[in-house]
Amino acid sequence: MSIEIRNISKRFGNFVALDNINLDIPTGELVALLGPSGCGKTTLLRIIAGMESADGGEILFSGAEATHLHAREREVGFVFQHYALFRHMTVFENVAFGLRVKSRKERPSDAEIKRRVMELLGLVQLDWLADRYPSQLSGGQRQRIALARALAVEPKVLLLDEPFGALDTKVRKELRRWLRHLHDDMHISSVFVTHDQEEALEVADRVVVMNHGKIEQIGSPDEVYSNPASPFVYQFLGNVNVFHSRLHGSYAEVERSGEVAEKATAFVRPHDIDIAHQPMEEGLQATVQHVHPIGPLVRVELNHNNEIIEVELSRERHEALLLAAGQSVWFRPRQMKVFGADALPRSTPEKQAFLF
Amino acid sequence: MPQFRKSISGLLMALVASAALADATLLNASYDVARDVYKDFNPMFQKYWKQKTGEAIELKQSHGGSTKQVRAVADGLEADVVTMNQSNDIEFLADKGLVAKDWAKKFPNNASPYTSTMVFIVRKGNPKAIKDWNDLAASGMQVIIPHPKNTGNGRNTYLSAWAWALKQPGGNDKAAQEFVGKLLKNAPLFAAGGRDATTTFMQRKMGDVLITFESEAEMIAKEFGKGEFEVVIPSLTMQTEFPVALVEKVVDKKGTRKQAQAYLEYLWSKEGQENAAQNYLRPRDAELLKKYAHFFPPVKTFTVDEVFGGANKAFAAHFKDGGSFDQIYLSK
Amino acid sequence: MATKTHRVLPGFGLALGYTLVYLSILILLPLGGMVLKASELGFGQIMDIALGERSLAAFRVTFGASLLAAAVNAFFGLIVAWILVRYSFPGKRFVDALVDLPFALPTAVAGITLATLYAGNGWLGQYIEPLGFKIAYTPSGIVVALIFITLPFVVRTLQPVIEDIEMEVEEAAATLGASRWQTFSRVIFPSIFPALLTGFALAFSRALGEYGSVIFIAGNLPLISEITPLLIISKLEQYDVLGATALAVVMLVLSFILLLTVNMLQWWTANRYKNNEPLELAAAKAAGGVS
Repeated sequence: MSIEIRNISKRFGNFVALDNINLDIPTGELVALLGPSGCGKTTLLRIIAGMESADGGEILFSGAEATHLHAREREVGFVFQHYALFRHMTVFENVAFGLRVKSRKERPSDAEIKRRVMELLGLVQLDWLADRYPSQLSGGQRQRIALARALAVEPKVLLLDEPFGALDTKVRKELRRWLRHLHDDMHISSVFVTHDQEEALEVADRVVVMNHGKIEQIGSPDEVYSNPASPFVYQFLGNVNVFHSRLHGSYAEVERSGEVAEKATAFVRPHDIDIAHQPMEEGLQATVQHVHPIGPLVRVELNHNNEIIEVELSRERHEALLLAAGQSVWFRPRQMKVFGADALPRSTPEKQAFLF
Repeated sequence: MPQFRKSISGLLMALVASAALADATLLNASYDVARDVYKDFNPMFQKYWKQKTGEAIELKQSHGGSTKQVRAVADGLEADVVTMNQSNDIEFLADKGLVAKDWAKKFPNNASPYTSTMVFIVRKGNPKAIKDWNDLAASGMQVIIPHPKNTGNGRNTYLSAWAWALKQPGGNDKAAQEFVGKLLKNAPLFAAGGRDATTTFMQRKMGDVLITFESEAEMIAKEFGKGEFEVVIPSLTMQTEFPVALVEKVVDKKGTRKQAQAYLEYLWSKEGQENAAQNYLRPRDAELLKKYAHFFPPVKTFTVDEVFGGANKAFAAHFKDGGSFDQIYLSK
Repeated sequence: MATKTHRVLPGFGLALGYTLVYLSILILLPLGGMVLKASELGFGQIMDIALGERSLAAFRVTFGASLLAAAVNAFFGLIVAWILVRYSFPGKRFVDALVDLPFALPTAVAGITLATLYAGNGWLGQYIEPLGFKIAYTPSGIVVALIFITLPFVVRTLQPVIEDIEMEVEEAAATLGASRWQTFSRVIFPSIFPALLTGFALAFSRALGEYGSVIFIAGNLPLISEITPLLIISKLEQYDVLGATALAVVMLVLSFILLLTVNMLQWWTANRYKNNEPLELAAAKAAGGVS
């Protein structure tokens, strides 16, 4: 089932949660709504689910008006960050709930319910816990049960609100991959909300980056990462160094690209910076402040005119350079993105934008 | 109606200190509605005693349901004197050895300084033409009384009706029980106490007749207005006594026998008798009774001793479990 | 392998000792004295007193009215608690404070007020009685008084539990297709049911012992509207302390059995989904069994 979101707006008092949102989610896609907390992503998800009503605009499911449908009539599966399992029911009864509350005409027989629930529990690999209670399960197990429960009613759309947010890193990675497979098997549209860019980039077919109730960019994970449409997207998807033309007057690229040279801003990812011991053409000089080896990478902090520049080197490159704190080095961006002053979201404070 | 509310809130101990520096202190454990009587009487006695002996005396009062008060005294409440409204309550103390066995002989008039009677209160104009006990047993009549097993007021009513029935031609216990049974069937409820019965009758306008102490009629007049009701005096009714006694054990222990004896004797003095009359209790003093005749119309009374051979006997025959009251209710 | 476990909070032994001593002095001692007193009578005599026609009728009235009042409060108290937790409206704090009033009011005042209200010429009685319902001075009056007295127990027990219900659980039920009623009956009600039982039990036990308010509205007619506490007072009026104690003990035993049953039920419903069998054990079971 496809979802079309047309001009949706929502306010909570004076706070604009959603500002004229338009979004198409084609059938079968796994879409991530990505953004910082308070950006409106969860509100949008809840409006799609029918748990919240929009102040204006409409929602179409497969082209049909669904704006005013009650949550129970929307045939969506919803997975909550904190699972929201029924704690007085066994795992089996939790999963069976959606089938048991169906009207007598539609309700499957007890045998059929049992077959389907056990099948779903098999799918989430927890059939051996059928007669346990939620309080006896780990977080990851609970979320898998919540997913099985949502899938039991064969929803047309699966909506997940920070589904892995409450889990530890290892379980989170496992479940992520698992969700991807599940989605591919089930052939349904899925929308999940996350503030974790890595999660969004890894799992989703398409990423919708949101900020302050607006959509900043819609695109494939590769698109949004390598071709961010706005400074916000650039900064939100990974670490970044920000160069202001005023402070870095010697920087040729900046001056050339910006229409108003004074106010242009350049964004450079830490792994797009080269470091050398000798002076480089178009390079700038800096002092090494810290060297942190982090797994396969080595993060180097350079001090240039009292501003910190973050650089990520591969281990091999670092072993060749053998950087140490206090050394004087030269650095040069391989790749950068320059935004004019008008592209900078006004509400982004410059200091915050400085180092991510 | 603060006084009213206090009287219904169960066992309520009101200890009133009258003099700070006293040569002796007396505690009078009394029944609930005696508050007014002793409120005026105590200062009178203090004055009298000061004049006579030069002694300052402190008087404390404790009020509560008669039976509860007696139990408190039996359990150790150090009352020098008990002034009650049922003689079987004092009998109980006599059984416990706290009061002399012959307490009724220790003072004149059966040790009861004043009396009252049970009368009918009917609605203004007496619309049901109620004259005597037999009217109360007529079908369709509604009679408001307190619970006969649990309240002195209720018991007095019950025994009055019984005594009246005995005195009718061919009257015997069987006929009396039948008559009282018919009367009780006309009670739509048994009130929790005397004052509750009054409220039910006067304020909630339930029933055709309320049976209560003569002294209560004046209280009702004060509370609800004289024109709201009429008092009907039946052809025969109980003379209810208000027996008093020294608590021997306590006065001996405290050394207050002299003062306590004088305190109770003073109830029979002119002042004491007049105070009772002013509280609508019939004084024993014949002169005063005449003086206050407008309060106390002539009435033909009986005493429990005459008809039932004593309060204890009456209680045992009628109000103990399995007594005539239970038989009326349980035989069917 | 016995290792001594240390608790985070110190002084468990002290606290337990204190609890036992406190409860003994406060509850066991007077109750024990009562039972001891009653034991002066033989079991047969106690039973004779308890099984007398008047006693039996009073037990019936007392337990019946108390059960009914507790049940009515369980239902309406639930609604009151629900509204106080879930909705905001002008004067909510006032209404919330109102709930506690029956706790504070002297029971006799409550009884007299209710009797005046429901009597044939009372504010409510004058409209109800023409419809053929007599409340004051009938067993219904007892129920009304007990409902009034015990309302706070149910409301105050339920409020925190309802506050604890996550909104998300209701939303989950809705997205799974449950109607409002199904959401209530299958999801919300089961999770507040243990607390409801507790509130019910509290209200019920309070109602059993209630005397002050009931006698003013009951009518106190033998076999019809006499409650057991009235009978106990009646025995005391006869200086029959033993008989009164016997009645009290029988009442105590009956209420204890009832309360124990309710508490067991409450404990069972609250705890059956909390008994933590280690997962490894469950895994081993699952591996051993046929799947």
